[in-house]
Formats: sequence, structure tokens, C-alpha cells
Amino acid sequence: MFERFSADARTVVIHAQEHARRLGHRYIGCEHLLLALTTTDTPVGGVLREHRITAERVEEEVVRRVGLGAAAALFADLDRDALASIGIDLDVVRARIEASVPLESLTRAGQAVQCGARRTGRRRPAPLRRRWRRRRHAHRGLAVSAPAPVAAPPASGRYRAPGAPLVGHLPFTPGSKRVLEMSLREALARHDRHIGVEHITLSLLVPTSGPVRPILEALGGSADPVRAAIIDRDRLAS
Amino acid sequence: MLTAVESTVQIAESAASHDPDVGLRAVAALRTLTERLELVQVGNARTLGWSWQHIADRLGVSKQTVHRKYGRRIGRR
Repeated sequence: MFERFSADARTVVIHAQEHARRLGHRYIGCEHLLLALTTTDTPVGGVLREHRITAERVEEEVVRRVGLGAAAALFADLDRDALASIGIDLDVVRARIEASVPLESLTRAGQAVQCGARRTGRRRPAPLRRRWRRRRHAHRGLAVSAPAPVAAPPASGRYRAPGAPLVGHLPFTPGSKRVLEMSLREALARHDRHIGVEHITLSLLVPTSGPVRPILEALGGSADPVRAAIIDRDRLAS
Repeated sequence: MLTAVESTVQIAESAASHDPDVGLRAVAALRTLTERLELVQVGNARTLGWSWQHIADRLGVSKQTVHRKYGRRIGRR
């Protein structure tokens, strides 16, 4: 799947995985792609930083929204807007739980959520989290993992999940996988032969659902001006 | 943890929402949230040495139900 990716684009995907691993998340989501994009040494990275979308602020927001470590799985995939519509602030619930339950119990529960998501043949109806797992298995033939490392400094950041670091490939969420697939379309639409960092970014800024738009809004920005700025920059360069 | 009364009130409110899409998604998310919180609390109670019977009493279900649901996922203390 990554054959047409430029070296920089591959580095972004690899960094996204490293960010996810460092934060103790067991999936590569759009938020990790965004985090990886903010640190690239490319025109796109510059545009993002001009819009005050910096690695520090994105990371802060990601940690605030989903938390660190296995315990993040407890709340990461819940539909926070739907909950807000009935007056439940997921952040408040999470803060209360984290304050009242020992981290060890939270971590174990988070792991149980992930194991439960992976197990098949359960009697109970599938929890929401299972949806992307199941879809991933349905497309097992197309299953992708992050490309082999290229020479690049590792992704770093302020936060690090406690406990042993995760090893092995992490799965993409359906959202992040779709973003990577759509980046090919962005490249074709611009008659580019390779999928570059700019195409991943453009594709990442399209979906109206998913974590990227809320994160940008929390940082005081929005997706559309950034998209326009990247397209402008791209046009000037070529 | 959400009390049963609170969640019922909220489900009732959102069920009254004019847009079923919002209401239904809210109910689904709330159900998942409740399950997650139950998992956290049951696990924590077990760590603190609570018996399945005591946990079941608080949740208002039978001991067997709790054990069947969480016995394997949480494991021994």
C-alpha cells in the first residue's frame, strides 16, 4: 500500500505509529497522523505551524481527549458529541474516574476492553469499539501496517505512557486507513505521481467526523483554511 | 458512576429529542460508557478483595451473572 508514498510521507506514517506507541495507544488514528504531520520538515509542516497547529498543542489536546496508556481505550472511541447532547461531559467523567480509581485498575480495564474487542464469538452484542476491528478483519487481505522504517529521527514528544512500551505493528483505525487511501486520490487529482505529505494532510482535513476537526477547533483553528493554505502553497511551488 | 436514575432521565430526555439520529447515538454511547464504567468498577472492587456476591448486590444482578460476564476478563484477584 505504501509503494507510492514519498520518503517524507512514509516517515509521517512511521512517526504516527511511534507517537501512538509512545502514548500507549494501541491503534494509529487520525490524531496520530496529525501529530506526525506537525513535525515534518516540509512546506506542509510550515503551513500547519503558521496556523498554530504545533506538535506540543496537538499532543496536549490528544492526551486531554483520550488520555495516556491502556486506560485511554476506555474512553477513546466513545461518541463524545452524542454524550454531550444529553448533558454528559466525557472529560468530566474521565477526570472523576481517574481521580477515584487506581491507575492499575484503569489500565487493566483498558486492556480488558481491547481484549474483549479482539475476541470473537461473544454472546453479548458488540460494543462500539468493535466496529473497526471487525471491519479490519473483513478486509484481512488488505490489512496494512506501517511501512518499514526509513532513515529518520524517531518521533518524540512530551508525554510517555507509563509501563512497558508497546511493541510490534499497531493497526490503523478505519478512519486513518481511509485517510491514507484517500491521499492517493488527492495525489491523482493534482496529477502527482507520488503520494506526498501534502496529500496525506489534504486527505486528513476532509472528513467531517473523526478526531481531527474537533482537535483543530479546540486549538482555535479549523480545517478548511488550512486546506486552502496548503493548496495555495502547493500551487506556488509547482 | 452514573446512577440508574440519572441515566434513565437522560435517556428519556434524549429520546424526546426531535432528531432520532442524535438521540439514538446518544443512547448507544451512553450504553457503552456504562459498560466501560461497570468494567472499571467491578475490576477495582475485585482488586480490593470484594466477593462476586457483594459486587452483584450493588449492581442489582445475580452473582452468577457478574461472574459469567467478568470472571474471565478480570481474572483472579
